[in-house]
Amino acid sequence: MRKHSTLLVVTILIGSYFCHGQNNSLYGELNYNTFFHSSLKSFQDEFIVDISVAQLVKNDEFPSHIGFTFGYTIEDINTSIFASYTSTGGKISYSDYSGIIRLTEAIYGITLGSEYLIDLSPESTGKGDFNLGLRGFLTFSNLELESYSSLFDQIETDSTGLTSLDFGGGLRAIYEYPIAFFSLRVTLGFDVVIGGKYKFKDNQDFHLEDNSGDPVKNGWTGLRSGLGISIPL
Amino acid sequence: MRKPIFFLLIILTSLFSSCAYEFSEDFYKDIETSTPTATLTLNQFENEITLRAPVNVSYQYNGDNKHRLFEIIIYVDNEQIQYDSDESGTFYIDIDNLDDGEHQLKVEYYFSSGTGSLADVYNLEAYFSTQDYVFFVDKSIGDPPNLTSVQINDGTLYINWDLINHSDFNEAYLIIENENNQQYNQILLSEEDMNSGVYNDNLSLHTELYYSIRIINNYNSSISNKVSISIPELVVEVEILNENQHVMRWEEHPLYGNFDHYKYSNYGYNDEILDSRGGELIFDTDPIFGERLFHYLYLFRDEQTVGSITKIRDFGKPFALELPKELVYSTTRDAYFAIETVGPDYYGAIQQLFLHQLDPNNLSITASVLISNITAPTSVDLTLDPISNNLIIDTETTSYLLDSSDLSIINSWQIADFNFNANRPLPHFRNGYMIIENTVGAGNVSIYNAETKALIYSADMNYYFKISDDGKYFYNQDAIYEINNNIVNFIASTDTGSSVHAVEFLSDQNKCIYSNSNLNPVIFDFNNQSKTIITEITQVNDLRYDQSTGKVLFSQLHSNANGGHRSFANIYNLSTQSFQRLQVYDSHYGHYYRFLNNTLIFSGGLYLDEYLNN
Repeated sequence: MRKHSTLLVVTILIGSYFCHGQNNSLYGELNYNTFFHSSLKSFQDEFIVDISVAQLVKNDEFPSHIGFTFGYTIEDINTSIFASYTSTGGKISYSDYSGIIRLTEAIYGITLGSEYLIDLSPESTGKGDFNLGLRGFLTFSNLELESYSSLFDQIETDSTGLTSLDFGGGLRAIYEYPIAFFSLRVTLGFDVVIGGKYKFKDNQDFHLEDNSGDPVKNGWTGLRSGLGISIPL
Repeated sequence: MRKPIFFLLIILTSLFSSCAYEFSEDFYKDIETSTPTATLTLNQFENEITLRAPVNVSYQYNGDNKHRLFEIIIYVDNEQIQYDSDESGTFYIDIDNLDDGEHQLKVEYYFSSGTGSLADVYNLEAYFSTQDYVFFVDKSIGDPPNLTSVQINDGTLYINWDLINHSDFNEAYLIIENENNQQYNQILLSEEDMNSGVYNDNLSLHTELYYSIRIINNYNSSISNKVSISIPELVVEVEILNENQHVMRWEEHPLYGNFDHYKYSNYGYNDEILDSRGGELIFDTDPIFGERLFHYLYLFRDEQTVGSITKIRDFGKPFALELPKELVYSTTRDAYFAIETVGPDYYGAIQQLFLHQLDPNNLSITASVLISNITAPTSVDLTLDPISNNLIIDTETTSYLLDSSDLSIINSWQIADFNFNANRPLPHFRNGYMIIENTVGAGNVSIYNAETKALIYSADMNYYFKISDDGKYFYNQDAIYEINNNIVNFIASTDTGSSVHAVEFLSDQNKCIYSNSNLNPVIFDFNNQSKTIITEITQVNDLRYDQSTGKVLFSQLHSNANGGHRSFANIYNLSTQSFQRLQVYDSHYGHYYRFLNNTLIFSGGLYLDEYLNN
């Protein structure tokens, strides 16, 4: 995770360097996102049923979570390009004095896309800028499926990695208010994301299915909110 | 300008890098352990039980719906005898190799904790429980019961014994032995039987029965004393009803309760059912005196033959003598007399000649005297002198005169003393005369004065000669003669037209009866020379006069006169001129019949003192 985010920052910095001097801006947001993830939820529910030796409890069910976004706005074409990161997870577990059973599904998505900005307040120079963003993107998702059990001193773990490619589009309102050399940035929108199949990293020919034989897919669709800064260059 | 931007980017980057999703804490279930509630129970087994035989013990595990059974291990005297993992089952305690005394049974079992924890679910958590028992092995056998009696009640057998006050046995058998002391049955006695002290043997039908009780366990047995009982023999009698019918009578069988009835098949009957309580069966077949009757009574129970009784019955009664040479009866002495030769009868063998006095009621011997030794073959004869009541025994060499009161010899005469030539002379001493027959060819006869040895008569015979018992009359050559004071006088001719071979003198009536085999008997009265012909009978082989009753026996042996080659005894009452007839057995082996003192005597050893004595 940390490796991915570092790479993203470097990419954006390089991009900003080439665009230097064209009245453009660089921005960063801390996001709070909601998701559906209904396929993953039901997939997790199936585990509860399948692992019948103990009454497993759902600890996490792919809840809303924070993420972040970096973007670079090119004023000439009213478009920004952006990269964002978001994550969530599911977990079921049971433990008592004699042992633990735990199953986690950690997912994160890295989204690359562009956003067309429609300026809804062209006359409000100096008093904040209000834009409507129409955007399209691709999301590279990663799922780490891990199981852990320990019984007395006997421990068993297993881990499987899967990836999927999702694409989607969204609409959001963006408000920026200049403060000093940067502007405070607030966004609120909604993304619709179509999840792709989760393919095994070990073998891309196979993908994850639920007990019904249906592919397990992401449900990143949800509200997107953000708070950040924008730095004009 | 650049430095703050980079600085800000670095802050943002590190801030964003903390956006990775963090999972919640594991769910933890707090489990409280409690005392296990599993139980294991044994059936047919309890602590301190005494085992007298190997036993199968069943067990039942109850896990209270939460304790799963893992295994059960059973030990006897710390030696594993069974391993099991089923919740119910049986194990076998084999005491064959265990000594008498105390032993230990240990039951160990392992079962799940039932806590519901993961370790419980994965069968990694168990409780261990053990149950210890003590049991005793006793292979000894107790004392058998003391049998007190066996009785017949209501036609069945009851065996009684003193009750025993222990139960140190598995089974008890009533052992039944027969008259040969051979066990032929054993009956398993129930606990109820043993506690009642009595058993009804409603099966046995042997004549001698020995009972004992054997008690056994798996290792030992002991047997009681014996009690026995003799079953009275079934009484079966036969009686002549008339010339054409006889009857068999049987009494109640002593064990009539042990079978249903008899079946009888013989003498015209086929599977005739007879009452076990007694009865009579009339046979419509001619009774034959002297012939044996074979009666077979088959005992039936539930329509199955369970025994048989063979009864060989004679009409009349047996007496002791086997083929006596002659029998006479003295009214004066009220006794029978008989002569008998004893010893081998081959040619030249020495035999002993006995004179017996017999009881008039049952013909048992009351006195015996050895007369002489004689050489077989020889003729002997016994005559009662109706005048003196002395007995006369004539042998081929000697004639004896004996006192019938004490069987002493009064006098004797040697044939050799008389001037008579014959290879086998047949002498008769009568009334002071010695009459000697020579039976060679048609024969001849000479009569001497026994004292003077003087010959007073000599004549040829025509195969038959007869002297009266009192020596006063004789028959020869179709004529009756009288001997009177050493002089022989012709009295009358029998004038039968053919040779007479049977003449009997009625000494007390001055009469004689004669016959031949083809003609009727004729009563000839010396006094008036009259001849009375008895027309009712013909073909008489032998005729004998019984002075004590005034009856005459006409024997028809192997006669065709009454159809078939049958033999008859005809009793003719001279005073009433009536007949009684009875078929008799003729063996052709020198048997003869005599009618003396109202009793028909068969020389084969039977006498009939009923039916013909009317």
